[in-house]
Amino acid sequence: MNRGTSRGPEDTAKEVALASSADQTWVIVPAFNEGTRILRVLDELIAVVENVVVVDDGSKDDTGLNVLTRPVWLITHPANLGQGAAIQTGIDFALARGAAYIVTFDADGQHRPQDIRALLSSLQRNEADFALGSRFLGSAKGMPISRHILLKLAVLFTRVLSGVKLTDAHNGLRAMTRRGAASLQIRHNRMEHASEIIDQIKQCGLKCTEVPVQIRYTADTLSKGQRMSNAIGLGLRILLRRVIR
Amino acid sequence: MTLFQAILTPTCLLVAVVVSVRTMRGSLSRWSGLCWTVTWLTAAFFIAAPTFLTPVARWLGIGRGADLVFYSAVLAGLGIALYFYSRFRRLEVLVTGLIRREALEAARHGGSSASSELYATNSKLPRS
Repeated sequence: MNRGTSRGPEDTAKEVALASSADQTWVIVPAFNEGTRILRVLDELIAVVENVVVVDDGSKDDTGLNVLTRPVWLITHPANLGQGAAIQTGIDFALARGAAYIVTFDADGQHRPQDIRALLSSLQRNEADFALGSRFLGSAKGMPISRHILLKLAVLFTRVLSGVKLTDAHNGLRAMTRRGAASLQIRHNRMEHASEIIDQIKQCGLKCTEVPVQIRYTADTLSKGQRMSNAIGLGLRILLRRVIR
Repeated sequence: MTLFQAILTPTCLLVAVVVSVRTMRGSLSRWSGLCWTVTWLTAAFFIAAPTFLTPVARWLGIGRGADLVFYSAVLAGLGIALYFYSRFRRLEVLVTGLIRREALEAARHGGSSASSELYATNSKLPRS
């Protein structure tokens, strides 16, 4: 596991390659009942990247309708399956469209589109297949202490179960190469997918790096995050699904 | 006979009869029906007369036949729960695949008012 942002002499050539591959980068935004927030997120994203695909995961509000007012792709699950399923649907779509790089990005506005460039740079600089965003290497102003403890417990849980040493195990902002994305097969529809992705990275022997990112904590973004009660159920499901696949 | 035995013994016998009738009517396969009927009859017998199991329980180091029935029931319950969970998982994977295929086929690109209006109209149509 690399944790690097150090730059070497070959970086200029790689930056040129990064710029030329910008149109082959696809950003996947899984969304569920994000009608009030999705437009702000999309407006920020389309200023930075060309290809955005929103996977509306069976929203009951006007998420889908709002998305179509912007020049982005919309895929609609007719029923709510979960964020893991939405991400896999987005990956399948992006791969079919010839994506060279795929980025997953939450729809609630907690991620900054500017961090996407750092993730892609890290993929190329470190010749990695996955670049995982880390709020603990970057910054997370306004993070409640309960969330901090919960995320640190998740890191410990992942380290024990998967044997992978990360600083942030449940960050929705991550980038992957085409090879990395094609190796993934997310079978856990709901929030367990974050652990599953880490497991599969290890099982496939893919190279992974962590990149400092900034998470924006506001009352709005905190309203949909994981809670301790959800986290216990999530941990139990992860354990159970290690027994029954 | 305790109240517990008075309730559960006839219940198990009734279930055994229902399973047998369903098997004869063809709702269950012969092999499956036979297994379930024997299971329910065995359960009825050992609930009514747990002392018959006492030698087996002693041999296993449990002591009482009633305890052996209880432990066996807990283990059977867990086994059944795991069986149905694995079936649920298989169905979940199947349904996810079907929904994903339909969703990918219906992907659309936004950016014009026409696409929004079309989406608004289509989303109100009943699904086939």
